[in-house]
Amino acid sequence: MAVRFYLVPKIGTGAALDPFRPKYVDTLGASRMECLDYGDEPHFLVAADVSAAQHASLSGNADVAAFPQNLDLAVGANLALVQSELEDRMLPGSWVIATHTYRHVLFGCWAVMTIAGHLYARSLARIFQSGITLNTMMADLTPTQRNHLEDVALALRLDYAGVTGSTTVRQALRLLCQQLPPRGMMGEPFLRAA
Amino acid sequence: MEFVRDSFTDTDGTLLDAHTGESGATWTRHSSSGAGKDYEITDANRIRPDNAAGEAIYYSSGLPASAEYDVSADVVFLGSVSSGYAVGVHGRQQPVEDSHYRLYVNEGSGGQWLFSKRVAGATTALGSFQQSFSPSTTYRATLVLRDAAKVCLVNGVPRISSTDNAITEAGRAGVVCNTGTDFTSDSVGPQLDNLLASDVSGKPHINVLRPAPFAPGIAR
Repeated sequence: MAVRFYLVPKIGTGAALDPFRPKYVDTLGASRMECLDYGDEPHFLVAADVSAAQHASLSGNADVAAFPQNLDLAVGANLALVQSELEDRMLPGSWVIATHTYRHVLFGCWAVMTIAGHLYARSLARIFQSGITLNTMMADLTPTQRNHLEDVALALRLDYAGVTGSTTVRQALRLLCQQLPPRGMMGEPFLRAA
Repeated sequence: MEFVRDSFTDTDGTLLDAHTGESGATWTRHSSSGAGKDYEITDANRIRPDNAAGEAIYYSSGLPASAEYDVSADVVFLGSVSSGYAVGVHGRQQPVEDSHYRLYVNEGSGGQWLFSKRVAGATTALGSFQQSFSPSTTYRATLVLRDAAKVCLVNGVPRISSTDNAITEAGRAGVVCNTGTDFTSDSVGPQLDNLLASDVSGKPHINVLRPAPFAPGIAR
């Protein structure tokens, strides 16, 4: 058994007996699992204690992105793949460079998802409402949308002063994420990139 | 400092919101609860879901000093029922909004403890731990609520952790159930007993977060 990390689509209706949860995990049989939702976006970051067979089953799904078991490996030649797997899920990926390890990548995922979770809990809003992408400029958001993000920054005691009208959503999220303290999931610490 | 204590000692069949426990334990049925769905006192002085289908959420009158506190209860597993269910405790329950963190049991997928958050009526899974439940066995379930981490203990052993802190208000502690119509007597399913909620002040709470397998990154 080993703790492995995955990006997994969200399923469920949110009802008590049909909660929002990662796809595939109902039948995975993992002995322990921790998951973090991306607010109202349709993805989860999952840490699961799995056997080799369970890992093969989960990672074999085309809509699942699996992190390597050794999180201390540098992204290296997989840089383009890592960036595209993140960006395909509306997770900022352009900040990742080849010398980053997967612990850095996981921190980036965890931090953005944490902010999105706060945003949803406070305002019941999602970051990527219709037409909004990572490259949308803050000036192109509605005042309400900007206020939602600023409210989260205030609640988390993050410095929002660097966000201006010409800041992209990608840059704003990155600025806020870089102020969050490093955390981890299921005993695996994440690393914040410089 | 404890702010809720209830051994659920009362007349068999008493509805939970008509019962008063030892301290901080006058119970309010949350407005989001399903019509006709209740917790009731059993003949063994525990509480069990009644046999109506749906969800019931109760919060206690005790007020926590902050949003960082523990909620624990005995989960007495008597025997299997056929349908899926959720029976457990919650914390940070907002008296108006339908938002809280909950730790509960479900026999689905071979038996498991589940930790989830409820935000404005929508439930999101945050973690799970597989465990098959033995008939006539009592498990102590503890939900440890800290801003930096939520930890779920079963019989004192950390089994689920989460860094989610989307619900930050202290709210209240209480109990929750969501079942089908097969909780037909005092002798089936899981029941709850000896609920206790306590603030972190005056207790070495950090030790709760320290044991393996959780790394320092989780506990900070």
